[in-house]
Amino acid sequence: MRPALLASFLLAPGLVFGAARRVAAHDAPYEEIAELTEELAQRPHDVALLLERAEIWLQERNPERAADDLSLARTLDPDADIERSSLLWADMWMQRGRPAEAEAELDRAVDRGSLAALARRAEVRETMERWTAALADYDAVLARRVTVEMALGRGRVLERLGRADEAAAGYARDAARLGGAVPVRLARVATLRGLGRFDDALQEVQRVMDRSPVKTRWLLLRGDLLEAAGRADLARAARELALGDAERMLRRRRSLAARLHYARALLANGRRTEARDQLVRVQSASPALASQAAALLGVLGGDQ
Amino acid sequence: MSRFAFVLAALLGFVATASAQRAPYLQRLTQTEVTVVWRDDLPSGFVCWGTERDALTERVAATRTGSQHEALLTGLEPVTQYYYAATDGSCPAEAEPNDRFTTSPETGTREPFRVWVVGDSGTGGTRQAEVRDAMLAYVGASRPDIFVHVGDMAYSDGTTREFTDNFFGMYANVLRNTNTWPAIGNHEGHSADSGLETGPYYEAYVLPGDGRAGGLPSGTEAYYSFDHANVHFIVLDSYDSPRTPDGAMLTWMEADLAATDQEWLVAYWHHPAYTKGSHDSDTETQLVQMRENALPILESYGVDLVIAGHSHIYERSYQVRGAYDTPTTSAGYIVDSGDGWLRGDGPYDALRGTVYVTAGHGGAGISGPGEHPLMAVTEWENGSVILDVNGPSLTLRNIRRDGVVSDEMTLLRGQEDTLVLVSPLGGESVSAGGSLPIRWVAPDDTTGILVELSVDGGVNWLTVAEEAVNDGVYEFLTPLVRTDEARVRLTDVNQPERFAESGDFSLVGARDVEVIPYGAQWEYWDDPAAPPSEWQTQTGGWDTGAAELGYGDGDEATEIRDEDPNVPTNYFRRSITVGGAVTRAELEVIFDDGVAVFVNGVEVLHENVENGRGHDDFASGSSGDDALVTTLIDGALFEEGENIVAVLVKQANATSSDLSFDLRLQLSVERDLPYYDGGTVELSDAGEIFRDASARPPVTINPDSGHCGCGVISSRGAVGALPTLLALGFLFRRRRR
Repeated sequence: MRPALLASFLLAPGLVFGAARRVAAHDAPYEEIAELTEELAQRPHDVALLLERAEIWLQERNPERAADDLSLARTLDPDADIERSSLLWADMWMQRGRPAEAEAELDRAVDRGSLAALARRAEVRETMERWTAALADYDAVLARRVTVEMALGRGRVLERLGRADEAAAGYARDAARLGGAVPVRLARVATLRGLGRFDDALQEVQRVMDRSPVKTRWLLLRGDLLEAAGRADLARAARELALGDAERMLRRRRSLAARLHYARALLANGRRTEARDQLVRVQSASPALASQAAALLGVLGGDQ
Repeated sequence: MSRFAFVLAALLGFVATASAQRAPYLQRLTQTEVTVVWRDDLPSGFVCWGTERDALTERVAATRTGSQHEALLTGLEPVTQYYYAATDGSCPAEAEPNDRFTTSPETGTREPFRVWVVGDSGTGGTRQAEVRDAMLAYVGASRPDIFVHVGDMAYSDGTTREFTDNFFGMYANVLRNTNTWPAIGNHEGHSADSGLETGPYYEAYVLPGDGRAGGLPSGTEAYYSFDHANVHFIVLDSYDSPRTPDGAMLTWMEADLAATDQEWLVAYWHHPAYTKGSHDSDTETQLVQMRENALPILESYGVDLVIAGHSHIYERSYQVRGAYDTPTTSAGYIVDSGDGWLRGDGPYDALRGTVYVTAGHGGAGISGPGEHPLMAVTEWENGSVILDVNGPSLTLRNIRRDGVVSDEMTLLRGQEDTLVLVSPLGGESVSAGGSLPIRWVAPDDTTGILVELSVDGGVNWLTVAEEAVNDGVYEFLTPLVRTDEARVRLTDVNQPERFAESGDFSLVGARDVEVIPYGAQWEYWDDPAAPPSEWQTQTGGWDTGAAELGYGDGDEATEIRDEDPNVPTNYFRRSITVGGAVTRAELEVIFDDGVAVFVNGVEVLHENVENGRGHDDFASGSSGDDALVTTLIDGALFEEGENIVAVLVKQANATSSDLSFDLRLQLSVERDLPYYDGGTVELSDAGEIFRDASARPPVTINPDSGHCGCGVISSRGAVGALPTLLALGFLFRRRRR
């Protein structure tokens, strides 16, 4: 960082009117902040610029700086861009761990018909564990627009309310409306599994598997569901298919993930020694997969 | 507006400025479908299409939202060219010549294709247009098959008007025949909401959140995947979708990766995982989160290439694996520290790691320190990227806005049981009688390679080496005969089913001659006063010394005068003698801080001399120590006989401590050689083919030898490689590691 600008950042907790055009490395997105700061030096009452800079501060997890800009913007024009302003205020309060203030901010924009504020308020209310209020918001958003995040949020809240059957039904409805969104389908599989509705879960897995050229992961999941449903023969068949698929994929793309899936398939088929060898290779080669490999090695326990 | 009126408007430039109008553009192209989108003021629209330009036999009505029409064309055949016309009524007699598209190849096939990658372009300014035009000039008739934009396509806020002017207007003649696959940038994000998929970005694009273009359904247009031939592309939203490991986006991505068996994996989004351009990946939240959360998943599945923008610079990494820490260091994470160039250290083995590219140089102003420890190449100039995917090879080229190809990196995907020819692939021009290195990648159990050459398009084959060692390269001297149908063929001597054959390349009469090597003798002028005005076209009368010339670094072979304050400009020159017509000239210059090179008085290269070439003008920028620039120059500038190469080198300012200059010039000089005209050619006719000719028996090109039916790498590869090699002029600043 250039010394002059560093000093200005340190000395001025609020607006920075430094003359330098660019802050060097090891600071926030220095060019954008510096450019906005420079523009604000020319137009200190430009609310749009203040909101823009507040947004960047929030992206950088700096709610205090954002609060300065937001406060000044509201002082200059309390009614400017209420939807965006409310969303930024809410994010600022959430980053400061004050969801009640965030909710109150969002109320302003929701009252003016903002769908974005309603969606955000649903998430804030979920964070506050105000399940019923959150559900009402999720339902209100989904009535107007179906999105992955809202579908997942509604399902989570329903499960917290002990209404898992409704959650599963909602997932099914929303996944279909979202073109088969995989995150929603996976959430439904987990819910159905928890409910012991294995046949429904298997159908959901099948829907994803039908669209997957590589099926290892889904076949293993299918095996687990069949096992849980007490259909061991079918589970064994699914796991054998998974192993064949994993071997094929490992030949085609020798990635560590392919090797991990192969190890899982070996383990599922009782080939523990081979699984151990593969897991050790994954663990040593991939910090990213090491914890998963270690967990599976833990399942293997003290086997030789 | 009628079709004719629309075309007229486009020709007159109205489309670029009228916010309500957008020329037709292609979306969600698959093997069997495409969506044609356009905007006008008319209440209804149709698209007519067919495989012949003058027979648009099919017609479908478009849906209309606001002023936007969207027409879904279905029932198409893979890898087939169609013509279309967007109309408000009946079908026209014929389509406009540029209103066409080619459907995607079948998933998994090794159909060669070309991708244009642009980032951070949406200014609507001159630089953006220059980047576009440089790409078009480079590709010629081999236009990109798909257009990837990594975000920031509509400055400053992604408004409808900004999209129309700075994206759809700017690229109208590309978009009407090249499908666009966008990733959202932060500037589009200003006016869009990814959670709700609202705003001008989401209104403009029709993207396969339902997985209809390949991959698993994400359920959103904010992030999605698609297949094209043997590549699976993953597109993420690094701005406005949750980037947490257990969030919907990365949950989907992991499932999508687990489900694909495509040969190549390419991922792109806006915020780069590694950069030291106008943004810093060590300090900015979105960049850090993408690195820490997305990369471990992607790399574990073996992603080959990751492209981003946001940072206004061009950066291309070495091959990397596992560098997720913050701040990023290079220690232990670079798995191949070569340059990745076919003509340099050789291609990267795709199995080993991932290459990262920051392509935020599509039109916005360039800036940043550019000292990221993982980067093999960094360039501070606007440009765009061309990807050529050709079966087991993926080649990336950076096309600067001045048309120079300043980086060329190749990834090669070897398979356990295949032999892959790396070069030549076809399309190259090789000096007859000159050295030709053949490069390949073969399995470890291949002990020997039969190397063969054909000069008649593969009809007859000449054994070059009966059992070359499998070390990846074999170099030999080509015959003294001209042909445009030379090929090489490699065969595993123990497993003949392993083989590879090039496309046709040329043996040409030109011979490469290094007329000025590094360390050559130069006349130099280090006087405080300016030299005589004709200094560029004369020699004699100056002091002489060997390069490197300069002062202040301690590595000079000849130390010239170091005045205080500095003299702004020093001069160097020498004559060379050329023995024939020059078909190609490659120039490399080491300099500090500004430089301009003249051949017979004509400027052929400059860097950091935007303040002027006058004696008292300092350089317009600081180059760093011993910067290197390379370029191809027009061979026609050289005359048979004596030629003068003259150079001025500029100081950055009056107090800079050092100045450096060295130069290398290699020419391809034409010789009079016969064309191969068929028949039997004895070794004595062909010339000394082999480096160790005494060890070889006389060889005959035998017309009766069998013609290989094995696969040529591809005809497209041949077409693509020629302009590449011809245009492989490197004029850029890069750190020499």
